[in-house]
Amino acid sequence: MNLLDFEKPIGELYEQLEKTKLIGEKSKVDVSQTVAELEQKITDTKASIYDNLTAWQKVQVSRHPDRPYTMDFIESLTEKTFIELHGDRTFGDDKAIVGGFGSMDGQTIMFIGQQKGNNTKSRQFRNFGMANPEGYRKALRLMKMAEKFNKPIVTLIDTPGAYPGLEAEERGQAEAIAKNLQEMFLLKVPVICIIIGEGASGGALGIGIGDKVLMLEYTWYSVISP
Amino acid sequence: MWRSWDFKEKAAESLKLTADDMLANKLIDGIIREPVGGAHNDREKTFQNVKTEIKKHLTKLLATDPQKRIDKRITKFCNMGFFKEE
Repeated sequence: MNLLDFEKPIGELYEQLEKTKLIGEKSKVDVSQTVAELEQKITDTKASIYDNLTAWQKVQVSRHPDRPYTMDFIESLTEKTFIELHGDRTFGDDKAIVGGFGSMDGQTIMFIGQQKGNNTKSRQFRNFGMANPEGYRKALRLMKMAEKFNKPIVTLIDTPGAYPGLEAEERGQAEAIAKNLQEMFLLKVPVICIIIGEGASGGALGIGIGDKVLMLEYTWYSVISP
Repeated sequence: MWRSWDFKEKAAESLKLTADDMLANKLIDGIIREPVGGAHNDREKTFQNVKTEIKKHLTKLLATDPQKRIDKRITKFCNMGFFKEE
């Protein structure tokens, strides 16, 4: 289990629980009452800790390595009917942004979102969720496609920022994001944006203009990452 | 601004970046609740919450006229932000 530093009391309780269970097995003493008490205590402590999180602690939760990412959301919501589409038709395919059609309870929806990886290799492959200009152009291409077929768009935002590298600037990062903002205001189909993890500045806004902008409880959205 | 990792708590506090602050400043339209312990503790419940929210908003949005939707979207973003005069 991956515990954050402010979750230490919970970790200690889990240790106690394990020990009690072990003692119960070894000495054949009935420990079920103690176990139940401990489990109740864990639930209570968790609730009280999570009721009083500071801003920085919420940032830590949003960066938790076990947190579900865009593809986890899409796969669950569409029950594996998702078809991913690639490429921006000018430069290449950006792995940091995924997008495609999927059906959620009979309604076809265009899903677009930033994807992070869950181990070192896939994190590098996804560029840590930092999109290049071709990623934003791909997103725009897919949005235009959804508009053509009159399908609603749902964007899932989870990025530490747009990629600030030299190549990104050469290919016009700022222009790509600005164009996205402009075009997203004028889309004729409904757009819902959901921040599911980190939402940093232009990287998030590039796919973040919608009729409804929603945030999950323990996420952040800001001009710069703390 | 502070050029140091030591001020991360202060920075996070001052940026007003949490979902509650964002909603209070009218920069977002809603918060989707997560299970206790964060989304990773109960993924299925998180997905379920997200699904219900998407469906709720989508039915309303699909019922409105496209041009009205666009106008509303533009006014919404234009009205964001406020300032204090000293």
